[in-house]
Amino acid sequence: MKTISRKMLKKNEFWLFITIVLISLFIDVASGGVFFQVNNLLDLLRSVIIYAMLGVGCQMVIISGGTDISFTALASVCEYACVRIFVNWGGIEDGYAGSVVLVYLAAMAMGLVLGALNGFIIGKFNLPVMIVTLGTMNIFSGVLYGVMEAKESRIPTSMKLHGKDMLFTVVNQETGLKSSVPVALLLMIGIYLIAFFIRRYTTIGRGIFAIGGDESAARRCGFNVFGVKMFIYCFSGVVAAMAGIARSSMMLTCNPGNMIGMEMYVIAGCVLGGTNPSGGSGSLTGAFLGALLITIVRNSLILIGVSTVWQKVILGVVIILGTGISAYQKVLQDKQLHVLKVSEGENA
Amino acid sequence: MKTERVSQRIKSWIKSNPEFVRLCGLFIVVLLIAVITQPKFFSVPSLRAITKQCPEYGILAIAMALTQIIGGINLAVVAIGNLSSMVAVLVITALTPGMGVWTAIVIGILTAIAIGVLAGSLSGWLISVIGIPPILATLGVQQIGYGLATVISNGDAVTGVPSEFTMMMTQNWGNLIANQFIIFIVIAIIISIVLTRTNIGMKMFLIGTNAKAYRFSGSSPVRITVITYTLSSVLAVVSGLIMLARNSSVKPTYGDSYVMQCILVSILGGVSPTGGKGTIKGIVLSTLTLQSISSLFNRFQSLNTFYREIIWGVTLIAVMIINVVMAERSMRKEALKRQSAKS
Repeated sequence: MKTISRKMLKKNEFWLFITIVLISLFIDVASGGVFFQVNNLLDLLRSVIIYAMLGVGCQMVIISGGTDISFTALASVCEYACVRIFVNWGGIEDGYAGSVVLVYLAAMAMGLVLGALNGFIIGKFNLPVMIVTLGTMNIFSGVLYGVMEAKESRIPTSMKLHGKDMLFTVVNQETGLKSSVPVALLLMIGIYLIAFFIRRYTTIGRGIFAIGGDESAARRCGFNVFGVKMFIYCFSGVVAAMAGIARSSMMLTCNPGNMIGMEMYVIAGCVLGGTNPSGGSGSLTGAFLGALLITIVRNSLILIGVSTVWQKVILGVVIILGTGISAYQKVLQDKQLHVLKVSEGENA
Repeated sequence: MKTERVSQRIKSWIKSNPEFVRLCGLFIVVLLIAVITQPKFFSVPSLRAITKQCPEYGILAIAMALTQIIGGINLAVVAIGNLSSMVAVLVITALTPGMGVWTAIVIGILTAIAIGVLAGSLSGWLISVIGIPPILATLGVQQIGYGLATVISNGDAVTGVPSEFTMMMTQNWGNLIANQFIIFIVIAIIISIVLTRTNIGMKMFLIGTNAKAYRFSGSSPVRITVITYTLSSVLAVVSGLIMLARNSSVKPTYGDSYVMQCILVSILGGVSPTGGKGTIKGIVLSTLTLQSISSLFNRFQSLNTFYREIIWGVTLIAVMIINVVMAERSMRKEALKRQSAKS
């Protein structure tokens, strides 16, 4: 029992969870008991879905030792292209009305291709991930606005039905407010399970961690570094494309540009969740909790009467504090290790 | 005899500066295309436009390159430039009635630079002492800078720049060269001297090449990192002030695309994205190249700005790939030569 509790105390996720609880309590008190109302909690759950989905792919890239900033632009391109294709499907009014699975599959295929482009450039030429994805982000958003001339668009019937499909709905007896959780939550849980399985039980999954820890060591161990990198970026592209479709389904309209800019929040969420920003470690629980923390900060400032213009400042402070605490811990650990080694050397 | 030595020297110079030579080639090609398709390219108004537009992101690119040389990156440059020039406008308009325009301008500029020093040393401290990776530390500073600018201005444009300030920054000399271009060149020369002839510059390259070896050699990288980020942020402030003078107003979202563009300029100019390599002459030349390409685009009205984004993205990736492939090829050649020399 003692060892379990001691282990818990050392875990980053535990402290993150405590932080979330404390912040929630603070917001609840400051807002006069609004935070823990069912409506607010369900709305939070609803808005965390997209962040958490994107977080899975993003975290995989960070674990492998890079920072991808193109995935929201990638998601927007896939989302908008699919909406255009299926809205004009076969001359049917209001677009394709069949199963939404086909829409998802089409988007995933596009995400796979665009992700493979990222993976090929990064894996083949061993270039810095952030600068390459900065380039591809510009290409994607240029294609979105320049070639496809994206503007707000209605979505096909199948996506509309999918977006209105709710797992459960709760009506607040006092206020009459209705809150519901969309089916996309199941999709998110599915992605987490698949990612968990891949990361824990497959060679590719272990390869992701190995590359992030030390790439040349992983290569000497016999990992196909190029293949693993291709897989990471393809997976991240597929997940991002799915998140794009889920988002415009949930919003019941396709607003092409409004995902671009989210990438920084997603990355910050991953790092707050204990993912080592220079690669090699990170847990899915942490990724989810980090996404949750970011969503709470973004959604709840209004509840406690902070004007939205302060949002970016507070987010910047959260990024610096969150990454700073774990980074500084590592610096201290390294120092301790160094002192230990020196004293051992003296004894010998 | 003597000519042979000179040609040998040129050859070895070409060999040791492959990126710069390639860039010269690109610049000449761009100029040729420009002359063929636009006979008026070398006219005075066209050249004036180039010298007016390129300084702001040329200086930003130098700011970016400094941090890339030590193996980092500074994503906050544009945000710091906007925030500081916004504060400068407010200070100038507040002090002008009491102290006269010129004193107000001097105090405004000093306040802006102070903000730059503060933001830069904060980034440097977070990176070197706390140990946050440069991307995330400067991302945080960027969000704070951008957020504070939004808070101050409520998201709107801040105007009220006195004409004296605009004139000071953008006055033309001989109807051709604007003041901001002179500022750009002076900054380029100063930074070039700092990088090649001073202790600090040498240490910056050492840290960029191998930070671990630098630490093991007994020196602490903290001071150099803080100095580099401070210098970078002050340059960002200068660029922000130039932008302010050119637009006569400042908005939190001004120059959003400049972050991407100045990374492109510095990579095109031969700065290694992993640190330890880069020259200022390369950055100046790549700034001019990019500005020439940009003004070529301006003549084709049918190309909308989003196509430009695509072209910048493709260029950035293509340049990096070419640099890597060429470096690998020359390394293989060297190895082969050594092998044949042995046998």
